[in-house]
Amino acid sequence: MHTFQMLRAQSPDEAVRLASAAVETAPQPVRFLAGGTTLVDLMKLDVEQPQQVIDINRLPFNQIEQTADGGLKIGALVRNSDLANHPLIVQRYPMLSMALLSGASAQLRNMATTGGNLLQRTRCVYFRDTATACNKRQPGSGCAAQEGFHRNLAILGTSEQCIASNPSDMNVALAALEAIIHVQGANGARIIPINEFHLLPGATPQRETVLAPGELVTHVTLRPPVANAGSTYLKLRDRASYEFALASAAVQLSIDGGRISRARVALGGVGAKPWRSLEAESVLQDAAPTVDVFARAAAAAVRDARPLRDNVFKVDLIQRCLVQALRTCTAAAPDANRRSA
Amino acid sequence: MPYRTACFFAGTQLNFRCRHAAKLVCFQPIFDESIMNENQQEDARGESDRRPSPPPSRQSNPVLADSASPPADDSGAPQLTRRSFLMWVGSSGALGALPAAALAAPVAASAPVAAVDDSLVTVRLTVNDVAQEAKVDVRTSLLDYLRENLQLTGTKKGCDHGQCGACTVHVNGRRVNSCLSLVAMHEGDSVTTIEGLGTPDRLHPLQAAFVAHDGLQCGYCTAGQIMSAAALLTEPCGRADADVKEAMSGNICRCGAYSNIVAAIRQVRDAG
Repeated sequence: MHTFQMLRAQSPDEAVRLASAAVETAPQPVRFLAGGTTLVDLMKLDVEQPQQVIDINRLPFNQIEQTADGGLKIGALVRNSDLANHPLIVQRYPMLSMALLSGASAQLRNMATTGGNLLQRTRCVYFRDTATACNKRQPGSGCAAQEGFHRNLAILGTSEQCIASNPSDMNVALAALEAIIHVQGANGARIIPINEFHLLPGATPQRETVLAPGELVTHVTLRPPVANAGSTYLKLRDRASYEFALASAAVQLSIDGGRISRARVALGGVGAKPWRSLEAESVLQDAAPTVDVFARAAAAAVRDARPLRDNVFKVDLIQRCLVQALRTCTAAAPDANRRSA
Repeated sequence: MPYRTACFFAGTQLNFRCRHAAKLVCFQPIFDESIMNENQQEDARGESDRRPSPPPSRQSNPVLADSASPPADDSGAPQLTRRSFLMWVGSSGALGALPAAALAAPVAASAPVAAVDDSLVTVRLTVNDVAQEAKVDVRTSLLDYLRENLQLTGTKKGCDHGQCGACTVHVNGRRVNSCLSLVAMHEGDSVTTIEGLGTPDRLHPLQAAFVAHDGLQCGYCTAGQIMSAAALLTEPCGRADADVKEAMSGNICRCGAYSNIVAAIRQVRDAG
């Protein structure tokens, strides 16, 4: 691990000020340190070589509070385990709780934070190995995954330069819940809808989010829960536990009079970013909740898939995953105006 | 750690497991004189007599200590722990079949290199109810601090990347992977390791249950398994074995002692 200067921020303003100062003077990046489960791991591998690390663990971002509109405000430092087990999350946003509990291990969930999970880096083996070519780690060096080991990588939103998948489960649920990311930078605070937060790799895979250098995620807000909606998170993987998703689906359905009145679909394990599928949602909207409709929605979701030699199986797997998740939701969603049979 | 070193741990622990299971699950030194046979004791003393004794301090960095002879106490008698024995054997070449580097390398690799002053940080924390003030290289993981600075070597280094769970300790009562945490992040925190959970005379119920159910083979993952299981007792977790397996999935056991580990945890939960 390369050495670095450790700074301890005592307030959000100080954290942003320290980061802004570092951005201007340091040739190497500055990093905020929260749980450390991604950053420390990658620093040990020399993938991350920050010159300055700002410890933000003492900042007052560890609360979960109700907002005036009936939604929730989740501090960026709320640990994954606390978020997953919070009564308001379990009762009102069970999909988010399920997604969190399906990720990592109990130990890691005690460390990992909401803000850190939003910025979790890919598990592509070439990104993690400094001896290999990776445009995300070293722009212009190439992509060893195209011809190499890419069974676990993305089929949606990829580019010639990068096929890395976003590994987070939490982000998939937040995408379906249309969460809002709140950030603070030298130029003040701003909000970013999660579906605009992550960037597709394109020609610049090293840029993963719209965050400006030195900008700090402070909290995430959720809209009020949708009444009478069924929701679930289904994750498929090589092992029964403690494994990243090969395919996952976060789904929320409302049914009214035998028709789907509202659908939210986000997919994991297959996208270069947490993959909100507007294509699947448009097939579902106002259609009858039947397996045939679900299959057509799933087919729409992978219409633009670009699989490679060893991850072509994901095209089929994610469709089955989505269909199964939709069936589960339908069984759980009460029909607001069920017509008598 | 190198596979060969892990195998050596496995072999030594298996030999002593039956008679000293209580010490094993507490991760107390097991290479004391009472369990060495006479030849071993004579060999160790003879070696000690022929070579100058190292300083008696056990606080000094073992990597930097004179490792040509086994550590001795004030009386000059060898005070062998598994750890000091391994380092002594590794550096003196007493085990000709094993390259010295295979044994010494993991210890050397985990010690921070000499650092310039602005790379040092001062941290005050509590470890097993003892207040500590650490002045350490900023890169030092909590795991390396516990093992190398405090000599609390019950906590094991497995993958060093948060994937195996061998390094599991409690921070403020919650289980974490100490390898993925920098000690500099733990100002004011309270850390509990396997040494702080129970002693051979007063086993934690989980340590007793691991002994009773044979919840281990080589023992390398055991400290992490027990610390994880101890935290599980206070976490939301269903009663079914499947729930326990899910909650324990962050602790990998290469020997595959899983069914016995689950049985040990079940016994303690049922008793509680």
